[in-house]
Amino acid sequence: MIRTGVNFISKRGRKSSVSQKIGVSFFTTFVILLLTVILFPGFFAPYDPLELDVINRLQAPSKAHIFGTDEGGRDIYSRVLYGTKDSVGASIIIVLMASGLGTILGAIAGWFGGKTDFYLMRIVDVFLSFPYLVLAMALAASLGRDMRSAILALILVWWPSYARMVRGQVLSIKERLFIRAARTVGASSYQILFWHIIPHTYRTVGVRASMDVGYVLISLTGLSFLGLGAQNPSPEWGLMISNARSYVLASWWYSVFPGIAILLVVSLFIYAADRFSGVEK
Amino acid sequence: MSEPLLSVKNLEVTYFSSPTSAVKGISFDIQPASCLAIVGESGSGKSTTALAIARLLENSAATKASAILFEGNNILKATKKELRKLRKDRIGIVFQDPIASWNLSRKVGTQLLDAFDKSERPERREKLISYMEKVGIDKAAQVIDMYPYMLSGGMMQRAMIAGALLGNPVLLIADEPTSALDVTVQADLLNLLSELRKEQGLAMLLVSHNLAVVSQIAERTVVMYSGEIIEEGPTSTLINSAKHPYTVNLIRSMPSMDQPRKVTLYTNEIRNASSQGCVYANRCPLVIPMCNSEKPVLQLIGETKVACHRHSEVAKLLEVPNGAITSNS
Amino acid sequence: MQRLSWMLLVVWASLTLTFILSRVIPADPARLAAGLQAGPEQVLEVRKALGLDKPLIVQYFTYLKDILRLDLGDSIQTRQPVLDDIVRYLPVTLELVLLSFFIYATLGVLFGVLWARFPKNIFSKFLSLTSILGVAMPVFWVGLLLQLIFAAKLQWLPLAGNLQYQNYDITRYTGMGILDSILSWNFEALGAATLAVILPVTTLVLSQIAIATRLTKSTVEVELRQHYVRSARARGVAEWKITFFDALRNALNPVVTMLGLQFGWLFGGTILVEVVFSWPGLGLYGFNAFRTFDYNPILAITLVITVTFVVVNELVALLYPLLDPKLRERE
Repeated sequence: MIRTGVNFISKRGRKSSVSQKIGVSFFTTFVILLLTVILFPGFFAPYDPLELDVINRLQAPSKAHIFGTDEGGRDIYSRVLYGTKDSVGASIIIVLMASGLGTILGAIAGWFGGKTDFYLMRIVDVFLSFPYLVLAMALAASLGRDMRSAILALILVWWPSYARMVRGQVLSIKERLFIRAARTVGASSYQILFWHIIPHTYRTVGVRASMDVGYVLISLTGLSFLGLGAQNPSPEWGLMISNARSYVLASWWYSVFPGIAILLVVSLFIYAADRFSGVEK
Repeated sequence: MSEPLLSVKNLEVTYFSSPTSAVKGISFDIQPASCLAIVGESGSGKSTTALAIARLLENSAATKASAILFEGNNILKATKKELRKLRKDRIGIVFQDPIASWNLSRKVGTQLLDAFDKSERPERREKLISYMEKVGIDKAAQVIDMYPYMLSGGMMQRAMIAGALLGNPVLLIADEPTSALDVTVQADLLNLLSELRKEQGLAMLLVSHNLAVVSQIAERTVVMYSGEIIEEGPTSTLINSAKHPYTVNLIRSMPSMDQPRKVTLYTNEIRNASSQGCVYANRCPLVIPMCNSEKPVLQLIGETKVACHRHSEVAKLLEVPNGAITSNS
Repeated sequence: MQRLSWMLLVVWASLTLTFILSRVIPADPARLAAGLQAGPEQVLEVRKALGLDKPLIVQYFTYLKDILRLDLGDSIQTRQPVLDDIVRYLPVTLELVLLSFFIYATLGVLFGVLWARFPKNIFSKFLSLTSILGVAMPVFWVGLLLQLIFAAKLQWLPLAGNLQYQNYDITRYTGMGILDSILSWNFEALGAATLAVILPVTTLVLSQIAIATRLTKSTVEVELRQHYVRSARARGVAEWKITFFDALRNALNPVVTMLGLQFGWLFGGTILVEVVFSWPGLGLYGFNAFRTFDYNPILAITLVITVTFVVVNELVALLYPLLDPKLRERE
């Protein structure tokens, strides 16, 4: 009987246009491609990202090294490929955890209401009152200067907006479901919440999450740039750009290519999110 | 017969979002100081016609015609500047939905006076106040400085009418000006429009779905169905001896002034109207095979023009009561 | 009244949070303060002097008390009272923040309006292609690229740093290069100050403007489809007047909210820009403090930034009744 109630809700707004379907498959291909590079960089990279070859340091792009080499003679193209795991992989993890945590907490707040809702939302409000980058920097700086702390810091900074968003959605679904639920016997609140309500938020959360992978990537590379995230010799993109600073005058390729990588990945995630949200508009 | 004030020839309007035309090549004239009503149900193309004449649909539809002559000039060819001047000084327009037609964040007066130069403002403002009083708004001097959300629907429409008159127009286009209002307010506004017309010698193009409203103030009426004119003539003749089955239907389902009833929607039938035969064929009680194959032409029969193959039989077959309605125009 | 207590709550929360963070840092502040060569007894003395041997609760209340007295402690790096440091560096950052904000807010809204009004124009097509790029480019990379092209290769603009006061006959009234040059009536200095400010400000503007442009475009688009626009047209009002006084007016609400939030982002961006261009402002100061675990400055800067952010958002909230007359009745 609960299922009937849920189906009643889910049938609304289910129209996906053809262009949306194309968008979905384009996006999925792209994500699969990224995941492949993250998991099997060796397949694509011609060189070892950590292998030093000081004789060939700071070479301009050539046939042998299409992105050139850095100050240790390492091939930048290979480093960029291996760095996908550190930069994009970490961003995806951050968004997954932040959205997961935020969704659960937001759903709990919205569903149970009352004091739980009140206190949880006050915490969310306080978090959202901080300029997020500053908060991330402060957290990352104090938790230790490594990738793990940066990831943790960004998760802590990003979850509140999901909580707020999901809470809002749960509140409106709750109202619709209420009448039906009043006639239903049996299922516990937790069951309804986790198996029926939360799945309805998947679409909005999904659109937001895919956009956030882009924004998180920018923040993460920014933290690494400042020395608060990845540390040498990790091939993280922001870190590479930071290292490139000392050589920017003579070796333009060092700072340009990792930046283009960031730019491309972020644009694609944001563009995909834009297309997805077609129905929402 | 003097020159018509407004002469529409073969107006065709197609919305960008739809393959079929909303208005399929209609023509009519409005004489100076006279009132022409366009009557039809939702989807008939009546509002579209009114708006297209003022070229207000440019952003969403293609407006074509052999000519739209206003005071002898073809406004279809007018430049943006000329159009603006026309709208400011010669043509006044009143819209259907009072709430949506106002910018709620700006004062009533400021909005209505927007089109006038700073130098003219003080004088126009005085004029606006007097017009507002004339249309029945108390304490007009205060209302002019209020925000639209502070006013009732009826007052908003009155203010809109006052604003439309500000430029001393010779033609007033009113698109269902009373549809969104209470019956009592409706009656008041119609009387008001009637008086204003007589006072100022104002010509009017009134769009409505309600024949009762129309019978009060329009001298001539045009009945539209699915983008075409199917009957046209002096209002009293039209109502008392209608020659088109659809007109008869309209008259029968006419809500009286104290019992308003919305006309039923037949949007699908209207959309699917065939381009070959008569547009009304799929709903007509008197339909015969010829109606589906041959399009009836609008011809003058007596005082009215009708587009129906069986117009001579309509009165007998549908038992139209004679002299049932008297109009006041 | 409610707003005021909310503001205070947020400020207090930020102070507490920063305090917790500062005590969580892995390095020993006493040792850092004493210096790396200090022996164990000296470290102990320093610990006592800084009050770090007292229980955490006591430290917390001392901390709060000091802040109320505006005693922000000393910086280990600069060996000066943090308050003095902040007074010295804040205006330098403000020069960047204010200029950037003003430029991207006006240009962003203007471009958004034009884009909404003339969607088929070449300029609009250009905007729709580049606006995603604008959001996707990391600000530090943009800064680096601009530095590379305009300072290193073309040599049109200075590579780093702000106005060098010692090279010119000017007085340091505010700490803002451009302002001080004008006040000292020295146009040579004004020229140098302007050149110095161009790259950092351009970087910040480029990174932010796309957000404002996209939002303005979509809100104005919606407004232009409303019926009141048709009414205004029917009265013969000029198109440009309708666009700005009717449509934009109503569209401003969400745009202004976003601008207020962006102001907060601007702080994060400014830190990165100051690092790239070695601009001696609060951002660079804070960055060094983060790096060396110099926790007094960290606390103070977080305080300053949070207070500014909260105040700005409150000011924005005050603007709403001005924009939307319906809200005025409540006051």
